[in-house]
Amino acid sequence: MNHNAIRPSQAINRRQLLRSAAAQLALGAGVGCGLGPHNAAWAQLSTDGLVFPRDLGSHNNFDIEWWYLTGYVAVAGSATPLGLQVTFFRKRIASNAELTQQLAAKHLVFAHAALAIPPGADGYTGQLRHSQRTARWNGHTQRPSNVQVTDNRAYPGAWASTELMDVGIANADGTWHMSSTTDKQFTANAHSTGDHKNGIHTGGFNVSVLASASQPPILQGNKGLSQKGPAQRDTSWYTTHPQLQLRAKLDIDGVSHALTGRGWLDHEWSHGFMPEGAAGWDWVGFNFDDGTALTAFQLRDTQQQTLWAGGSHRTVQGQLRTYKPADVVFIPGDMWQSPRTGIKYPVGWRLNTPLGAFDVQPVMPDQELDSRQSTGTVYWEGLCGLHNAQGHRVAWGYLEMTGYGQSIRL
Amino acid sequence: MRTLASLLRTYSVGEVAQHPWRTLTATLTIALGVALALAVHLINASALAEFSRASDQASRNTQGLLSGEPMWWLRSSANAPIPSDVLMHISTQAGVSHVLPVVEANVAVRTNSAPITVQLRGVDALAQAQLGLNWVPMAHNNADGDRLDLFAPDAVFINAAAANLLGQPTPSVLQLQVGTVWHNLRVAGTVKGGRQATLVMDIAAAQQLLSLDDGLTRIGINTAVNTAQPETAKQLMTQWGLDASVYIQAPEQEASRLINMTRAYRVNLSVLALVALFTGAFLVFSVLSLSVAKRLPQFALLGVLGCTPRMRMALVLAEACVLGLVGSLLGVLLAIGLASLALHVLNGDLGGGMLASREPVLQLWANVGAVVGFMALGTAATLFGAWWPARSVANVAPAIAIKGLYVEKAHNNQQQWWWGVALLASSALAINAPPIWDMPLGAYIGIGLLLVGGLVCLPVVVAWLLAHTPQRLYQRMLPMLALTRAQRIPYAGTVAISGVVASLALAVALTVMVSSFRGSVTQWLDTILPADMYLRASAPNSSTDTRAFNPQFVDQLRQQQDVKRASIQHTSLLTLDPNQPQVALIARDLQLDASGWPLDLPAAPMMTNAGRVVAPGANHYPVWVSEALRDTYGLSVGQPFEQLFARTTHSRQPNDTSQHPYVAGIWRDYARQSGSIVVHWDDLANTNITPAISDIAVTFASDQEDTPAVLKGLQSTIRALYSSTHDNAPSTELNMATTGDIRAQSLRIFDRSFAVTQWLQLVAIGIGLFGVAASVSAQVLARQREFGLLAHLGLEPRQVQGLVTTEALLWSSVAAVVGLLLGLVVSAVLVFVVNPQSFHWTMDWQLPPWRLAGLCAAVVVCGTLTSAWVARRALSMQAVQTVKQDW
Repeated sequence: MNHNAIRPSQAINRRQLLRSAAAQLALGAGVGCGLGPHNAAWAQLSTDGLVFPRDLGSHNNFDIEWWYLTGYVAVAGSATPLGLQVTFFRKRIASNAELTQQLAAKHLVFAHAALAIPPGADGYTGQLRHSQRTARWNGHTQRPSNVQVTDNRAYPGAWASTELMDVGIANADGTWHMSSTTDKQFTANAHSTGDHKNGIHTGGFNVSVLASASQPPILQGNKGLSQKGPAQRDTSWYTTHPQLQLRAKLDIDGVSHALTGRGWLDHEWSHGFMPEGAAGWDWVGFNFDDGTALTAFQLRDTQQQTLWAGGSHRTVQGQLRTYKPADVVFIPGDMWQSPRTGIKYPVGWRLNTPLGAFDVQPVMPDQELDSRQSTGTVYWEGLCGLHNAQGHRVAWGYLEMTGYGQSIRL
Repeated sequence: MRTLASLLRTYSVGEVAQHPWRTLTATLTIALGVALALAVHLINASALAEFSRASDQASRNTQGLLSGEPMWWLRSSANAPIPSDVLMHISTQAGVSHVLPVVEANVAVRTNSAPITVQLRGVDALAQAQLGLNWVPMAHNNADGDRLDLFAPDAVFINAAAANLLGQPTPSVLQLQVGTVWHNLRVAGTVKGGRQATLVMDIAAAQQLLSLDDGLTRIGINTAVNTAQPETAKQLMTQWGLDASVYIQAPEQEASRLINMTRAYRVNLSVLALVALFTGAFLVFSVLSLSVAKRLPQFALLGVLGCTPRMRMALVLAEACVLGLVGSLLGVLLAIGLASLALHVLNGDLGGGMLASREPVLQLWANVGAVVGFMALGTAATLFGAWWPARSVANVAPAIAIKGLYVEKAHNNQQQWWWGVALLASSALAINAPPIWDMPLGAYIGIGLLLVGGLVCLPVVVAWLLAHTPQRLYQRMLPMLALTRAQRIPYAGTVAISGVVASLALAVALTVMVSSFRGSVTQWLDTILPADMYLRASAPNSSTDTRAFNPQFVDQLRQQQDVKRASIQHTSLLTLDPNQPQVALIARDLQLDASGWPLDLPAAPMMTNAGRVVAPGANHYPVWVSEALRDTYGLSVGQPFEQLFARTTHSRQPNDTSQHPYVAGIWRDYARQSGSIVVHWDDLANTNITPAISDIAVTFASDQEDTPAVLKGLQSTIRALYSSTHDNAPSTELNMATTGDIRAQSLRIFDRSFAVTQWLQLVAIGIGLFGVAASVSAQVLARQREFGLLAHLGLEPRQVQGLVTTEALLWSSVAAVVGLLLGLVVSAVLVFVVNPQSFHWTMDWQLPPWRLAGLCAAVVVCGTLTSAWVARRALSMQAVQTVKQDW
């Protein structure tokens, strides 16, 4: 299998492809049947199956791709762990495909780093720190040889590899990256020297993570092709590395902490999977203390009604159950309103799954990420505990909620 | 002190109330002088502040300022694109915090109407956002808006100036011309920043559109070093290992470059404005002298009543001081009005064209010092004019004067003569002083001393003239009376005409200077334009606005039957020193005459008999530099031109085998004030600059092509030829101008830029004539008793009036002669000292006899007629009563 196999998609007018889910819908209708050219390409890809570490790398012919590393590490003085996330997004600008310039913005690469420091942890009063970066990428520049975290580039530069997971952005403050050293070991680094901005700490932290896989990856959906809506094209390629062993080095305001914990790596790429009429989604990924991994998501319309749902769980024995839409029910609970944006989020959820009924409770309500400067959206993504019917916490994980302010555009 | 104040309140105010018009004239003169000088200053200061603002903002780093300007700009020395490798190289250098790639070009843009020229600026929105909000594109905030448009290859963002030019409503699509192709682009949003009409698009998209590959126009750099000094720029060049193909410019350098470029123009305009103030001082002298003369009996009475000579002098000076302050205050108000009007209507440089495309805001508060300074200057000028009258009041002998019998003391002509000679001698010294800060300050001071010295010598000159008056004139009664009075009281006459002498001298000087300049420019045009027609092609996608001709086109042009010769020329701009304006680099197929001088190149005066210049050594090629370049870079004939070598060679080794340029001659270039270099085409080809054909001079085979019909036919042939040899480019790109057109246009521009000069000249003359009128009326009134005596002796009123008119004729003639002579000397100073020192060009001294005769005649006629009119009003008894002894 080589990547030329998906070239037919380029025959389509790229700008239309890029525009939005609605545009894609129109395109699908134009082709005449549900199986448009790019779905045909996907089908072919799926028969080949995913190969690691290559499919941890960038899929440049897809419009959207993200690598999400979330985790929680134990801190002294707190019963609640500290949440951390380092994420990279790649957005293809198809209209620039023909440019040959070194500075051509064929893709934009965004990165986020956030720390959720719960109250009581080492004397902190409970705070969220969040920093973000954006850079253009011409689609072929690779990681500069021997690049160090401290290497700075006054002209922001991004890179990504199509051979393995290696995506990064260097700017005047140094380098952020997320890489796979083997298909079982991953590293990530992000740091920020920024200051308060709009009531949020944007800096004073440096996070370095070494993550080792304790379980094989989960191929979500049908061998990695995950259905996100009723139409066949509402799909994304979606792989998960749950139950990662984390060793993290955290510097907060100059104080260094060497911590351990667990993590979760999601890697998803698509042309924009949102079904028609979708405004946003809710997603959770939980590492159970017993080794089970639970994924659940729903896509909502503008009336907050569920359009589609899905997910999976895999037991510690390795039994994987992929959910059908009817298997998962999200029931909103406690609401929280952001003092910065005024957006209201249901930060508590009742979650019914084939694995059982659970309550999702955030470690702190304010884990809203304002990324209007990079990806252009405001969303909530934060560390939560998962409680069973008896009220016992059985898992830690991340909850993501998008589309509560404005409908999200991919 | 209290006595002085109460005297001012009672005695002086009464005088003003009795002669409001006279006082008003003097006040207005001062006001006008202050107004013009301050207005010019305010306009220039506001325009320059516009540029300094950028540099003020360069030292900020963390604040979210709008500026969008980096600390440094890295530019190309020779207008060639900068490879993007340089960007990446600088990006990784230690101490660099931001770099900002920019692509720029002037392009033609159209919607539905005729194309307009705007600047296309390619930016990286992400890098730009780090430096502030200016120049960051903002996608339309509506359904069509898309953040990704910031990077789309077909999206442009429009600034307010461009939106203005394209008209309302702002178009959503437009066409942009690159080469011969019109590209359709979407207007996807707006951009803040830039007074010039600008479209912003993504940098890579702009590179693609302009066929620049990876080339950049300039690179903005922020460094950890927070001081953007020119010296630091040099250090950074070395530290980063950059070669001479690029240079780093601090923001101040942009401003200092501009200040250097416009300084001469600004200073000369200011001096011209000060001329009005200077003339005003002479008028104050006239008015106060006469007012004092008339009030001598009163001053004498004050003396008898115990007023000391010192106090009397102080009183006159205090009167002058009040007059000066009021005049200056009026002047300041007038200046503010004039300056804001001028900034609205004209640009910041009063039509000089050097500060074009920026509309500055009047910077009043920043110039409070200047306002106070000019007020002080106005008051000082008034006091200067009042000094002699005040002295005469102090010296009056009360016992005689109180009876009204005080007659001007036989002046110590000897002493005055020496004063005058001393002033003239120091004037000669000042004129010969070297320029200070590149400005002919010495010459200006010398001109002032010359005028004062000339006026001090005036009674002596008058005495000499009278001594040589034909005796015949004494046979007739009226001339006899007038001449005798002039002989006895030369001082009174001097007072009356000093203002008009000063203004006529300056008017003559400016007239001679402008006509010398115009004559020299005309001759220069004849030499520099030997061919019949000139071709130039404009292409919107180049930063120099000029499209290079295809050599094939020249070959085919030369084969045309009607074309006798087609000479090619390369013109580009070169940065020799980041602190100085760019210089023009001109390459031609030069033909040398027997002495080695290029034909068609106007030589500077010193070059005509210089003989053949020998190269300083092997491996040297000749260049001819303009006078401005010689002065700016201290070049001398026969010497190597190392600054040029450094900019035009790949090698940085001083002892390599490359060809070195040397100065083979100095030529006169009126077209490029910043300097220009002329070089053989083949010599330029050996440097790292590739000559491109930017101009073609066509000589016709016969004289017949001058007829419009034939010319038109030939022009359309050439246009067709142009299209076919330039990928079917629209033939409208080709600009063809006949030598006649260029000559006429050049002279039109010349005349337009000197319009302000001529206007100021008129103001000066007008003020001078005011002075004559005021003096004459005052004198006539002062001489009531004398006229009464004459009437008693049998003179009819008509004859008395005739006497006054004859005297006026006499004095106006003296004024005309002295003013003309002084003016000719001043004009020589302007032509031979001021112009070479401040503009770095020489010209030939040429006298326009008819215009000078006209000026002198105007002074004589206006002076005489004004006097006759004033005398008639003043002599009618009724009038005396009704106008209360005021004209």
